[in-house]
Amino acid sequence: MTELSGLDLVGTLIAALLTVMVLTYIIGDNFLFRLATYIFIGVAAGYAGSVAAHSVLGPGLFSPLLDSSLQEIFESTNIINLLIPCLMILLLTLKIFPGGARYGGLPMAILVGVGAAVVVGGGITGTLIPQSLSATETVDSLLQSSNAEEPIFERLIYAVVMPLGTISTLIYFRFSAKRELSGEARRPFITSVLAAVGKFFIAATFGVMYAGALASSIVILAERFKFLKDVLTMLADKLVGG
Amino acid sequence: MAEIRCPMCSQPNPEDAEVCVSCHARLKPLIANNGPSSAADDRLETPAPQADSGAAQGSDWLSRMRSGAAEPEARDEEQSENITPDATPDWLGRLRDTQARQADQQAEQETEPDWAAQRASPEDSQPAPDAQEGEVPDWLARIRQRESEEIVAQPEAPEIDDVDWRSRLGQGDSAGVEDVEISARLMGQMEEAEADLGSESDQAALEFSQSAGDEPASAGIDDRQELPFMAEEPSSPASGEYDYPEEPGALDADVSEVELPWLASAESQPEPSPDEGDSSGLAAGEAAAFSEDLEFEWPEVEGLDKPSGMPWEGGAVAHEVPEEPAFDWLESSEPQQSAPPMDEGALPREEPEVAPAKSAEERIFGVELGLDADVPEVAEHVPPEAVEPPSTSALILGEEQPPTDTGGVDLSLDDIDLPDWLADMQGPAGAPGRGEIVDDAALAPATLPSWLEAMRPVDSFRSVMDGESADSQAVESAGPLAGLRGVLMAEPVVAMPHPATIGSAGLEVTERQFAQAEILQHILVEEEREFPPAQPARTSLPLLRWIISIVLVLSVAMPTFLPSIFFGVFPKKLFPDFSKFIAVVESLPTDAPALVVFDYPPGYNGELSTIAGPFLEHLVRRGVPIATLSTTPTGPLLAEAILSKYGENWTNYIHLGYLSGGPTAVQVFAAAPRSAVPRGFKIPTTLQDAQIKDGLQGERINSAWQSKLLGDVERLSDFSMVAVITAGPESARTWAEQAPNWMDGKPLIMVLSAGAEPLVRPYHESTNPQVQGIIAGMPTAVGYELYINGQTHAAENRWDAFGFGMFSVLLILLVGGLYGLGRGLWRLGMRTTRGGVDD
Amino acid sequence: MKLGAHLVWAVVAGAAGLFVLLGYFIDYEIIVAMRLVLMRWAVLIAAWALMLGIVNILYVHFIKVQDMEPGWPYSIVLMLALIATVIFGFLFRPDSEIMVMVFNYIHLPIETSLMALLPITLAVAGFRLVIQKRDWASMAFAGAAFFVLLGTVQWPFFSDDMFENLSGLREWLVQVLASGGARGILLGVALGAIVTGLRVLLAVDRPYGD
Repeated sequence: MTELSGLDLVGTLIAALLTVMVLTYIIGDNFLFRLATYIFIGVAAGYAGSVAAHSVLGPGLFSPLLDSSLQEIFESTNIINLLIPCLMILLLTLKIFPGGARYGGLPMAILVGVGAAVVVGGGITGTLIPQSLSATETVDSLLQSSNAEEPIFERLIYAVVMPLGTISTLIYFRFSAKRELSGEARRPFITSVLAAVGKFFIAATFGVMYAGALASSIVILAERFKFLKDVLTMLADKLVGG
Repeated sequence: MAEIRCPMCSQPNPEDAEVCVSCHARLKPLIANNGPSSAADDRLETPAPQADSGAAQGSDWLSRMRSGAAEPEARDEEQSENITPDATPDWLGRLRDTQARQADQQAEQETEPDWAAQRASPEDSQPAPDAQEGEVPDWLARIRQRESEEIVAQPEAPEIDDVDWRSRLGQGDSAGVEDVEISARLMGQMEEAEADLGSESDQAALEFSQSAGDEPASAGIDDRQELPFMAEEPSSPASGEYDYPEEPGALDADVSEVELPWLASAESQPEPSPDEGDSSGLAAGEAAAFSEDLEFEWPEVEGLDKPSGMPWEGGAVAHEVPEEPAFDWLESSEPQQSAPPMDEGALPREEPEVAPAKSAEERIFGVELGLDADVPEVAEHVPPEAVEPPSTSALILGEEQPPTDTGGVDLSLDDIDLPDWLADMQGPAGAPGRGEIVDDAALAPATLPSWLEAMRPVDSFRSVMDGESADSQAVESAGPLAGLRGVLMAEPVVAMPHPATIGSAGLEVTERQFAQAEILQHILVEEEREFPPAQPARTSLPLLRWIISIVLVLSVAMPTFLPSIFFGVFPKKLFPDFSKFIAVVESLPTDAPALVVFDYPPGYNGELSTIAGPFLEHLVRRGVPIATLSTTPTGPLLAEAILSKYGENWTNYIHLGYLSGGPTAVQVFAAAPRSAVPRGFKIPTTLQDAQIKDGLQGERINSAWQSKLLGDVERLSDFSMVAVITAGPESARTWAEQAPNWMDGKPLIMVLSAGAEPLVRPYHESTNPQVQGIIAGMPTAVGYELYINGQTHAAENRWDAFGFGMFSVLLILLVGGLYGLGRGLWRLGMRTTRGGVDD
Repeated sequence: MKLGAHLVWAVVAGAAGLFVLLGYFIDYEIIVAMRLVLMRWAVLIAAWALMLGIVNILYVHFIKVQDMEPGWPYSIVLMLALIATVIFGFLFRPDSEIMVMVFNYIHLPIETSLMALLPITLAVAGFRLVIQKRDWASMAFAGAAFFVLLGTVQWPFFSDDMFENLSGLREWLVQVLASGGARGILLGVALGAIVTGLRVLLAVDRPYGD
């Protein structure tokens, strides 16, 4: 660790202390861990608010309003870009009051409507169509493999497993069933078989994700110990070096 | 002081009151109490204390009627003297007198009609049956009043004329007719009998009516206007005045037109036995039979009053008639005059029905027999043993029960020869026949006709009903009225369940329904079951967690603290994806900035900074300008922390700042980057001209878009590449969905955490991938470092710790798997062994 | 809320969403312009909603301190930290040195340390899984995780050939087996998101309130 200024040294020590406070959760829930987490929440929320105000609302709304004259404000462009958003913000603010909560429905409607449309559009154009096409292309890959070094067996497995995993996983989430005479709901046999295969693919996928999360967290843990080691080393150097 | 409840409105009144203070209904009975009364009189006699008041009341209204009619009181007194009030009914008394008179007058006046003679000789007129003042029934008073209005008042007081009883009847002058229904019927029958009556009948009627006594003047009751059946009648004459014809003969002419054949036949009837008959059932015809040919002497019985009360009676004992009418509808608008008192036991006055027109009345008055013909009906309505329920007449008269003892007087009129139509109207068997005089003991209190009773207020019965004392009343025990007395019992009627009268259909329950019902019942039982208080949870040490934690910490910390290179052998084979990634980075132009998105939380900084570090260093080394962006508030700080190691702000990289709004913000940035992030992040305070966009040197720099690095970037496609550094699949999916459509073929690459790689790989694994390159995980980072530097740095520092940590996790999973497998096998063996032993 | 205003909100949400959705498929000038305007409004509203959320955090913890609910001292610490950070951010700007120090010495170490506790939790969960759950889905999960972990690092006690086989197996598990399942999951997630978005646009779901 490079030489730190006094302020950085203090900060580093605080960081090390907070790290230890959090790592005490290994033993169990305790006062130090809770204190550290509540500090974290306060700081994180405060920083997010200050960044939103400084980076979004300030330059996007308040600064243009303050920099514009009264005449400029009522221009058509500014009405659309400034006044109406100001009105929406005001209405949204009324939502925290019980009496004015109903007036916050307009900005919420715009926010929700736009967000829903973005999700729908992105889902259709970004996932549904491309991934469906990709699933069908795996069959073509059997014939036209981009990687000629792959043996045919591997390509065959790839061409079978990939679409099988895709289709069986989708069928697994289809829970429509027919009610039998005994009152029990059962899916058709083919559906049940494919759903079972899909369940296997889902379990395998989650297993892979679990391994990846485990690997990531081990790296983070290692990084924390590395930090602590650096801090201890620095302190030792300070104490030894004077 | 005891109170009397008004039978009409149930209002309390003083004991000595005769009329109700609120509704002016008569409180005292109509029966006059002039002395020892006959059996019949006893039934109608009011109790002693009440009798006095009733008698007083009866006398009041009757007297009022008399005063209006201007009849000499002497005639009343004379009438009252002749007949013992309590022994015989008035009508019978009058009948007796009539007989006596007729015998005297017959010789003198053979041609002149009796009623005319009687009119001419007012001194001979029989006193009103109600010798006492104020006892004329209301209906009779009204009739009289009407007569007085229609006919010029006689200069003299109208003589007691038997024919006058009809007028008196029409005017409301009560003379003993107790049943209003009978009077109504009388009216109708009178019209029918008009043609049948002959002059002789008229004569007899006249005589009989004369014997009825000097009816007092109209009691002043102008009930004609009040009574509904009298609504159409003209205004009643002056109160108490009979509307007699100006000339005695004028009425005779009308009456003479009426023939009463039955009256003629009745003349030959023998005198009825005094032991028989009922005074109340004495019909007009029967009365007529007591004309000159009939010698009817009422036996003198001690303690019994002669019946009286009939309008045609002569010398009848005046009944005590309440001064005020018993019914509200009988109330007159004019002050009532005292009606002649009624004898005790005498039949109560009968209120006449709608008084007919004058001409009809005049005709009726001559039809003595028509009126008398209905007398048996009076007996019909008088039950022989009227105990329960109390009759209306008794209520009128103030008696609770009609007198049951007639004193041995035979009031039966069965021996009287009645016409057929009258015989048909005699009523059921057992009723006293013509000429029979019902024994007083069998006399039943007169009852009102049904139409009249229907008009009476229900409350009128309240006075004769014994109210339960508060203590004797049952206490309600159920329902909202629990604890109150005197309320209708709910339980017997309402609360008590009763079985359904309709047979229930059989219920078919399937097995499934039965099972579900059992489940429901079980749930309900479980709900009611009391559970013991929850035992405090035993605190147990998390030994498993401690052990695993110790293993992991030691495996990670020891390589960190103890310099070693246990896993010093780096991967020899780089992953295939790495090649694609490197190829993309290597192909980037240097004249356009590359957009690097830092979309990961600070918690993943330990891993992603290790993985993204070599990548960013690679970009910086190639001279590719870097523009950072973040959809998280802390992204710009993370970018600065990493890039500051490899380059200089505004020289090698620039921060566009925080993009708020999620996928929507990505769309906005993709369409118009300058408006999405107008300001930037961490603009240096001092800038060199080389760092500033051409043409803006010297101006105040307050936006990242004024930097030379960004150049002429206006859209997303103006960037040479978009690289997303993210730890979550959601952020990667957002950029993979929203950005490619706006990039015009520019590459999109991703630096991922090891956990996010599986869900992002499908965007990469296709012939037209949306994501052109992916690197993820520690091994790739180590390999990247080695690729660009020829040596490792950060990755190397963490490689052994990573390796040992992965090894410990593998060991944990392996041990756990082996333990679980062994335990399962052991349990299976135990189960098998136990099953074998059981076998 | 009266029926009239409720319908107005639904119409507004539907109209705004329609313009944005059409922009994905139609490159028409008016639609693109309206789309951009609406999205800018949404960005500003979302930023202001974040500010209101911070105000709500303060209010909630203030009530907790006022009522002295369990853990109220921690709420005081939270409020102090939040207010101090906001004040520093407004006074010194979020990209100032002070804010960088606050982030580097407080925010970053705490969050990183919290994430560093994750391997312990994951390891304990994995251990319990392999002990208690012995159905074939759990076995598939554990087996995939095991072999991926096994093929990630080159073990010193393994030969290079063994490592290549293991790494090849890992690649196949990640790139083929997991990708097939992941693609199905992505398609399912996309379908669900599309249906949810359409329900909002068609006013079947009205999360903006009645």
